[in-house]
Amino acid sequence: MLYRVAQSILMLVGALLACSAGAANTGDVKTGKLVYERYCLSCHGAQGNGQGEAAEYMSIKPRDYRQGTYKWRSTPSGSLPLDSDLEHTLLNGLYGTYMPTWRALDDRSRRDVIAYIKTFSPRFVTEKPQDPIIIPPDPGYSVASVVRGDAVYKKYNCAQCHGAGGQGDGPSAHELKDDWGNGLVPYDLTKGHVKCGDKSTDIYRVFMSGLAGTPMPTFADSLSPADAWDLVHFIQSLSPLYARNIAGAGETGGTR
Amino acid sequence: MLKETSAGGGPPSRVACAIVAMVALTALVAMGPVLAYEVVTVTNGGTIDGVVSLSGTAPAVTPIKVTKNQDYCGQTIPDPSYTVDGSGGLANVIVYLKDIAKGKAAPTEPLALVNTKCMFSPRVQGAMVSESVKISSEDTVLHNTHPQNAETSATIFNVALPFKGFSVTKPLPSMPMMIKIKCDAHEWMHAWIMELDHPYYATTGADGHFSIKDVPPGTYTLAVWHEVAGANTAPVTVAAGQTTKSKITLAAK
Amino acid sequence: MTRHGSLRVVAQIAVFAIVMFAFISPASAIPAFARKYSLRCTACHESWPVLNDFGRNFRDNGYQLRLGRDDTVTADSGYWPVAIHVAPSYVYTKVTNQATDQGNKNIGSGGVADAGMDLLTAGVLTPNISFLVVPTGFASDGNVHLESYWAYFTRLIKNSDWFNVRIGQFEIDLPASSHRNLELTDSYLLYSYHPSVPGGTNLAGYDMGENQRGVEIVGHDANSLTRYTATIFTAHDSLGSANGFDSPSFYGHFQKYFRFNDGLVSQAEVGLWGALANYPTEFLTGGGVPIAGSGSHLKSSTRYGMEANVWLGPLAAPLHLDLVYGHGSDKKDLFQGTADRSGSFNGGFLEAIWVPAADLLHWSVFGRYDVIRNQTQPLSTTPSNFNDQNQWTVGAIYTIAYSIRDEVALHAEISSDKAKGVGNLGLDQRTNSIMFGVDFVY
Repeated sequence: MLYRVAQSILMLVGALLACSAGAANTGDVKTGKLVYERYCLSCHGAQGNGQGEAAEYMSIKPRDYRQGTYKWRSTPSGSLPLDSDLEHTLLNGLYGTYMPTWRALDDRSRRDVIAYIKTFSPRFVTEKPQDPIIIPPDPGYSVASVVRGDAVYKKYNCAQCHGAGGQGDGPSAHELKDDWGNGLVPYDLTKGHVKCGDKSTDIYRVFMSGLAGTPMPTFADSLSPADAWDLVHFIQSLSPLYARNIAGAGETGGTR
Repeated sequence: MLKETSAGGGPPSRVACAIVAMVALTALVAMGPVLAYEVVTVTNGGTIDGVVSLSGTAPAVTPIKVTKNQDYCGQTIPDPSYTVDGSGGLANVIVYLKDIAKGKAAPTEPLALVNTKCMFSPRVQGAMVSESVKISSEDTVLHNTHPQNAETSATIFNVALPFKGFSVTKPLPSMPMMIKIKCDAHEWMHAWIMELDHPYYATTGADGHFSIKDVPPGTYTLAVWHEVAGANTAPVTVAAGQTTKSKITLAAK
Repeated sequence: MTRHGSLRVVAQIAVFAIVMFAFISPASAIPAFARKYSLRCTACHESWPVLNDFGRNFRDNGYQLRLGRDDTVTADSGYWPVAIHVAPSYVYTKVTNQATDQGNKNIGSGGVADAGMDLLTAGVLTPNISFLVVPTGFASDGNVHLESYWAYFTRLIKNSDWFNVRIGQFEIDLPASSHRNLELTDSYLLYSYHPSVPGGTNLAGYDMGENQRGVEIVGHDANSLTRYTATIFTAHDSLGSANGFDSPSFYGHFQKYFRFNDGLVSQAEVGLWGALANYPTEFLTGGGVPIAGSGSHLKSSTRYGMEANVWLGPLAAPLHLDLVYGHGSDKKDLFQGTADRSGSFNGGFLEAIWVPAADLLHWSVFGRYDVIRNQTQPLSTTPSNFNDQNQWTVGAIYTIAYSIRDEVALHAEISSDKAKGVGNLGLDQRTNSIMFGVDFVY
């Protein structure tokens, strides 16, 4: 009870501060609702609960916006995403799912719909996203790095879920559930095209941010940047798709 | 590309903030004049000593069948959900006071949650809001500690414990809630943390006993919660410098 | 038959054709895609069937979203690339100043017309090869024809979006698609108009908005904000031609979109377009009928112009204004000796589509004003304003339901066309229509 009062006061103060700060350069919720109705409603539902008319037929369910839980974030485990994180998902889509890229939309529509989507979770009023994870530059793909990455994969027990060969068939691969009770399987790393993006930085980020709402935890507290990069390169080596695309040095990744 | 106005993105639109402000205001008005927990120096506080016992017969529990990492975790693990001693004392019950407005400060030692022998230890514990929990692993297999809001299943965080000896300290949410913790890698692993806005809570030991100290004199509602047997309450009056005996039961389910 | 009498017949046929065209016009909303991608019609259509930015990009990309669910293998197994579109409607049309044995009359008639059906089949055969086949007809006359059919090869060179090739029968990339417009009782005059000699013929009778057979090269940036198309085709019903290389016709279109992050105008577009259709004016005949492939002495029917679009308010629920201007000229020889000079005209239209920001985007209100002004009459004795036309259409659509499986909408519109001097006794002729229909696709 007491904390609900505190929460309400916090919300009130936050809302008043936000209002006085003005709405310049941020999305318009009212317009965002129109964008949402045009493009998003059929999957994510009028209530933002991920239960639109199409959701029933999908093996990977549309996001339920009410908890403020997002897989693709630049922020640490447990944090809200930044607006730019939500925009990243709109721009890139989620490979292999029904979430397409919304690059063809104008910036305004994306900005507005992000503002609207955030209204489904009260967390965006009471909490601030944490600072983004710092991703050091990719030292570059090399055979030596892949070999070291193989050792990191073993040391960090990635095979527990993703399997010794990275095919998503580890001992804990079964009976996994997300926050909504939907079953899911660890990603088959040999397929390439991880949902959160094909760039090496995208893979790195997943280790550090975890995939909120899923069993994939954060390794930010245990994995050093050097080890993480080796692990990225090892994972890239598992997929023929990446192997084709990583001929060049520097930031690696595929195209769509 | 969006321009970030701050790490938190920009403020919401005027419409949104007006709505939120109204909701917050309505909530406040509906709740009336209640104040947050206040830390004061408690002199000659009383102690509540008691026992939580299970009435009726606890259903027979079958051991947990281990489905993965059997070479490390073993084939079965005893099911700790009903841990009852010979006189009916029920372990792993959280006992706490309801609606206590002021009293002692938060405990200073951090909470601990250990991944050991493919189980969490302790099974249940109380916490005061914004405390941190030290999570560690004594196992060689990968665990992940994945606390969720028990009501909404919303992830609070999800941290990997990839190898033996690793530990990390994580803050708990700033709002009181029941937190259910799971290890996705080993689906039988569960633990609970009841997060309260005050520090008057205890967990029953193997004999069902608990003790809550430094309670300002007064009449309170004593509440108990068990993962299977559920919740119950009993009135309790605490006198200055005295120890109040309390007995509360939970019916077996 | 008098000069005006024959014109009357032509006018009546034209009205009939326009009305019938409305019924059998293959609108290109394809619920098969909605089913495949679990999106509603509104995702691709500003107001169905007008494409929005997302829909235009999707179409330019060969009906692909490129996230691993496009081809027949990775798509949802429940997906079958067929959709059916029918639009039964009541139309009342009144045409003024018609010659009858009983004198000059205005004749009006209405009823539920014999509606046809479009079978829309379209999809992705394998990554970067898409197709569309549209059999149309199935009305009580039993006729069925292939309205459109094509294969589209995307990213042919180095994964670039700047070179894609379509081959088959398709609508050339006009400033506003005449297969995706909202107005059902009137077509775009600019696309179909030809200068004429009263009572005479014109070999260049083609309507740019009809599907043409040929090859189209399409190029666009990632979001289809800058795009071009270049097409070589055989203009419809070109006498004496066997294929596009006997009487090559060309079309080109360039568009650039601009976006504004603040203010009332959210998007604007400008474009240039031009068509050069060539027709043989001499050919060998067999039994009086021109022999295919024997045509020669090609003469041109040219059209070129520019376009500008603005979107006011949010793109999700805009007021969309489209202004298209064109200049056209048909060479003297196309009139088969009845003209003493080439004919030319200026024309265009202003179209408005408004999607009110309410009620889950169920409504749209639209209107269009078409103008044709002759510049040079092919016969110098014809009054200079002969067959100048003014046409307006206003209407509204209420979508009763749209889901990821189907769409059903109520459609009402009124239109009026006034053509100078084409009626009986050289009077002006006015054609008024009112239409109310239900349009469903599944």
